[in-house]
Formats: sequence, structure tokens, C-alpha cells
Amino acid sequence: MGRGATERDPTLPDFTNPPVIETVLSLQFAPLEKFGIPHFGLYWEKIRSEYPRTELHPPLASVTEELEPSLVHKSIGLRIALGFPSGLPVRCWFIGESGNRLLQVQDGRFIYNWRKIKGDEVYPRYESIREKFKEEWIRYCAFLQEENLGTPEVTQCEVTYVNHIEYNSGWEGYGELGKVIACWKGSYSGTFLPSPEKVNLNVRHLLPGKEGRLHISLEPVLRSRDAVEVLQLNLTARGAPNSSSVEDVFRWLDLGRSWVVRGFTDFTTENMHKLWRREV
Amino acid sequence: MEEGSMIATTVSGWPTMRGERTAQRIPPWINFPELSSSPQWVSVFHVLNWSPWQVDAVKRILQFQSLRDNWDSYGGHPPSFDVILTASSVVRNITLDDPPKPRIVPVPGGGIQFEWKKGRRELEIEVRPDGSIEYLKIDDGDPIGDGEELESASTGSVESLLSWLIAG
Repeated sequence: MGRGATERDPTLPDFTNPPVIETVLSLQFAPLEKFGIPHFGLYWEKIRSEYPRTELHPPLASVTEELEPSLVHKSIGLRIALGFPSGLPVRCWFIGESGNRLLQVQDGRFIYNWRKIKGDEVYPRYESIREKFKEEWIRYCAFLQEENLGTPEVTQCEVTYVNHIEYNSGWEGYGELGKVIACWKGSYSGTFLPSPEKVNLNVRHLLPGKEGRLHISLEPVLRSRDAVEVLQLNLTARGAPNSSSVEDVFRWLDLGRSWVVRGFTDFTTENMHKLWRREV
Repeated sequence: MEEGSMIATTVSGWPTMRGERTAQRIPPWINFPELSSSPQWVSVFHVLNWSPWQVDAVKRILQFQSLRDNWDSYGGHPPSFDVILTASSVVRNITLDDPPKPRIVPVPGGGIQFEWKKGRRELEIEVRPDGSIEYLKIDDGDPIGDGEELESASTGSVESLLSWLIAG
């Protein structure tokens, strides 16, 4: 995108009150040979004042967008490769003081999350989240250097926006899903079927130039925080950067974010854009 | 309700930062892979294939998160998120058609109890504060035994108890 980190692209759609409740920026890299359990603690010492709480979770599987047809899968074309988690069997969460920010670290993954807790917080905007993630990534790479663990070779970048669309807010159930989703016609060719009780949708799009892929998923979920059933609309852009340099990695994240925002806007209706107060 | 505080407990069976290992119980999120297999932080249950009664039951369980210490005026504690998850998996793993619906109540020590009554038979399943699960069968007002521990909240375990209840 070629813009400064804190400068917002004026051509991107912008919403004053978007339904986003979480953003996730993630980097995947080849596991580091010498990285061990004690390094989680050593790294925590560096960030503990800002991330005072920890939790342990099982590691995430590696996910790679394969954009070239392989010999085996030629008949089905493009695919996603899922791998077993390699390296250590641990993913460590470092939780920020406010409870809104989280760093997830495992051997081969570095993830930064921002989320709403109460539901009424103002979304801090991508530019600010990106800057913080960049700081954290540079700090993590410096830590790895200090400990002689090597330099991560970034293989995949990932941007995810999690949106919660509440019922009775511009639509009244799945019979009116067409009021939310632009490509959903909302009627059948005959009159036999009643309105759907629930709907689950998965769509994916290739980014031009074999840059990666945009995944869109829509599904009913029960939110743990307040026991409310909502429609969860996730958009994830994933692909490989040109190199592992900070510039190339963040150039890809900017591209992914642009696809997520433009994809979200195309996927949803103007009716909902008004409710979310679209400005651009 | 603050989600951050809900998930502050260490998952049972996983090593702590001090290298200790907690009780070897099946981790409560095993029944909800969506909570541990994605980088998403905001925790949600994927309810596409759930029965309406299951959604309602888990909503009730989730509402126990809003309980505060001394919620019953007798020093009662609210259930931890691990207890909430284990109780939710009891509900999730009932796959019988039109099963008897339980009464679901919080237990003062931080547990959650399910209570069923059908004819002269009663069944109680309690998810205890440490994540263990106990059950008690009652027939004609008389408890059968002193309460037994259930190995897990698996479908087979819970449904065999419900089969006993229904057969009464």
C-alpha cells in the first residue's frame, strides 16, 4: 500500500460504529531449533510490566495457503495446507493489564489480539493496533537475537477481524439474512421451504498476484461473555510475505487488512452500513 | 461480567508456569475445539447444530458467571470458567431425542448442579469446583449409594445415567 504506518488509506471504507469485536494479527514462521520452554519465562520478564497475566493453551496448527496446484491435488485445484503443531506443545498467552490486549506466543507463531470486553469500548483502529504489533514483533525478534535463537523466517501473515452482528438490529432472524449479507437472495425458487432456522456460510477468494487468500465465514454463535446468541462474521486474509523483513511483513499485513475491510464492505448490505454509520 | 477474569484459571492437566502439573483430568475445552484451535480470543460456542434446549441451558450456565462472592449470603463462590465449560459440555454431550430437561443451579462452593426428576426417579449431576463430576441416583426418595464420580462428561457417560432415569 506504500503508506506510512499511522496514515489511514482514505480510499478504504470507514465505519464510525463497526461491529468488530476483535482483531487478530498473526505471523507464522519456521520453528526455531533452540527455542525451549524456559524462553517463555525469559521473554515474559521483558514484557511482564505490560502483560502481567499468563495462561497456557495447546499450540495452534500451522496453516499455509497453497496457491499452486500440487501434483496430488491438481484435480481439486488450490488448497489450504494444515499441519500438526510443530515444536513445543505449548502456546503461552501474555495478557495486557486492561484485558483488551493479548500476545500469543508459540514456537512458530506470534499473535497479537485486541478485543472488546464490555462491548461498548471504541475500536482503536487498525493503524494503532498495527503500530503496537510492530513494536512487539521487533521486541520479540530482538529477544530471540539476544538469546541466540536465530531470526524467524516468516512464512505466513494473517489478519482476522471478528464481527458480531446482533439479532433484531437491522434484521429479525435468518429469514431476513438478505438484509445483512449482500449476496444472499433470501428467497427460494418455490414456496415449500420455510425460512432457514440457522445459516452457516464459508466463502473464500483469491488475492490477485498469488498474494494469498481471503476467507469469510458466517455462523451463529453463543457469546460466552454475556450469554447472547449472535451472528459471527469472520474475515481472515492469509498469505506469504515477499521476505521476512519488517517492511515486507507489514506491507503484507496492510494488504491483508485492506482485503478484510473491502471484503467486509462488499459482503454486507448498504442497509447494515447505515446502521454501522459508514463514512467513506 | 468480565471475560478476562473468566478464563484466568490454568487449564487442568496442563503444566503451570512453575512446571507443576495440575490434576490429570480431561481438559474442559476438549468438547469445544473452537475455544482452543483458533487464534480468536473472544470465546464463543458454535451453536449451528445445537438443539434449542441446549442453547437455553448453556445460556443459563453462562449467566452464573455474573455471580459474585457471597452470592447466596452464605459465603458462596461463583463457578470458574473451567466449571462453566465442563457443565456446558454435559449439556452439549446429550444427544438423545427430546431428553428430559434438567433444572440447573449453582452450588455454593463454586460448582454447578443438574437435577432431573422423572416419575419416581431423580438424578443429580454436580460439576464440582475442581472440575470433577459426581452423580447421585435417587429412587423413590432413597439415594442409591453416596454419590459416584463420573470419569468425564462424555456422551456415553451422561446418557447412560439419563437412560436409567428414563427407564424408571
